[in-house]
Amino acid sequence: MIIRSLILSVVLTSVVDARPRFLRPTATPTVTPVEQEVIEQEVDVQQVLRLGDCVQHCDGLHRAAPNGTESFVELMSAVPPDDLHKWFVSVVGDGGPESRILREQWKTEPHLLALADPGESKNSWAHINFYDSRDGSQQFRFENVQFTHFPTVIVQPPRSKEYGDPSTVVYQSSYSGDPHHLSTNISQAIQFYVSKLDQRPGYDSFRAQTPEEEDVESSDIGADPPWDVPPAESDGRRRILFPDGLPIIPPREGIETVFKIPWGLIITALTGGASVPVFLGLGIWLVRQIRARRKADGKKLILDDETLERIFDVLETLSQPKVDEEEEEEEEKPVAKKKKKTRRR
Amino acid sequence: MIRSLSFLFTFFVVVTCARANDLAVDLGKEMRRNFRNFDGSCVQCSLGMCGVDQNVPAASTLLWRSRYGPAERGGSGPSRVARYSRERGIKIYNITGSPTFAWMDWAVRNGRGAAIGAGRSHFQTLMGHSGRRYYVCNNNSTHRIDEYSPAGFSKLHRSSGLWCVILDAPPHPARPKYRRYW
Repeated sequence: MIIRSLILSVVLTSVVDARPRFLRPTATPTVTPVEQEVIEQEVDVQQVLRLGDCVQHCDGLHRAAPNGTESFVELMSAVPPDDLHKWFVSVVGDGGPESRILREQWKTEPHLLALADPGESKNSWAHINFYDSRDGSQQFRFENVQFTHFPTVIVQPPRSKEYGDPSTVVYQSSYSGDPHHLSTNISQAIQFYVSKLDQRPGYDSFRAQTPEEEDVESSDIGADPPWDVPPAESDGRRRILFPDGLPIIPPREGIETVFKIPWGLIITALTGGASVPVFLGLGIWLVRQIRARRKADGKKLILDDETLERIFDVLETLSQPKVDEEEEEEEEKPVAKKKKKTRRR
Repeated sequence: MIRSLSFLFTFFVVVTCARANDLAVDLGKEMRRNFRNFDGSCVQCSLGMCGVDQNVPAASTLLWRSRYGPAERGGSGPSRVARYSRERGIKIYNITGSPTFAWMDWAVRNGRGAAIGAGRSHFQTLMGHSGRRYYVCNNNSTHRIDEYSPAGFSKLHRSSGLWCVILDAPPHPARPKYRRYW
């Protein structure tokens, strides 16, 4: 009985650890005897003094040095050049196959590398950050952005404020699987943004808004990260299905048609040519206008683009035969009038 | 009287806004709270904050066991930081001696934070630099950001020994917002 209870208690303590999370033992790191002494202090001031003026660059390659000593030491004479002027490219993925494909393509595709080089940040034209939508530690960054598909590419101006507010979303789009198409779209969007920026009144005197502060009451650090860390591999349940890759910001219709007022239709309506197709055309234009504004303001849309386009198509096809019939009637009328006239004679 | 009071209020608001804008590390109190120093892991706490800010998960999860490696707790020196950075694949600049000041200025000027020696045998996070003020978050009091004059900051940094660690990763972009420009 005693032996059984002892075994049970041992099993229970191994399964259910009642200690606070931060006091639970963690996996043993590879600590050298010298490091063990350092761990007792907070900072190894002695070593700092011994090293003197030294700049060491760890290049992030996974490798073990013999006896825990640093074998890759580089004395660097100066700090790196400023990169305040660089644009920002953020790739927000979900760990799915499309996200991984884009990440891999960004390492090799020359069109994408020309925009941003993840391996060579110093020589890269823009800063590039790969975010995982499942990473709880980064979700606060994208609170104001809506995602429809992953991966989504977001482009923002540099921190230097040379090109306006750095928080402005200059370009946002899901990835279609074509790197050349993506890089062309990004370049066009930046070009379009810069061309519009010069026209905006007082953009030179731009000042950023104050970030919101949050109230916190208590604190706790656990043995596990306090947010969801994305797993190494995707669950593999998703199948590869790239969306169309058309940019959300700036909208295509925004550039090309939305703000073109349909003067032709308006003049036709005012000069007595009001008909169902004319009003339908005006209605469609108005709906598109409102929709573009809602999209720009980041508001939720009632219908998705595909459904709306289908509705418009149906409306157009419904109105089309009526136009033909009216035209046929108009064509027939003069003949009938002529006939009537001949009868009078 | 009212005019002077309103002027003072406006001045306070402007100064507060300017300060908030110029911070390179833009983590909220709630996130900073995760990096409170319970057990003398001040170096990892400071570096972890920079990791979240610059989206380097291998650095942000230093204090906890994760797929990037075991929890790194306790005190550190430059060699230990170099060792675990290499093991976890974190790119860092590990700087000691007089160059630290130039490197810290470079980091915050370009939107990066820095884990810096600050206080007697202690590490803190350099959050930003604005005008003639330095902003530092102490991992013993993560709810607030302390403000230092250049002289005060220099004294603070020297008291710990001249050592700082900067992540060799791009800075974070500003939090994106939709603004109609087209």
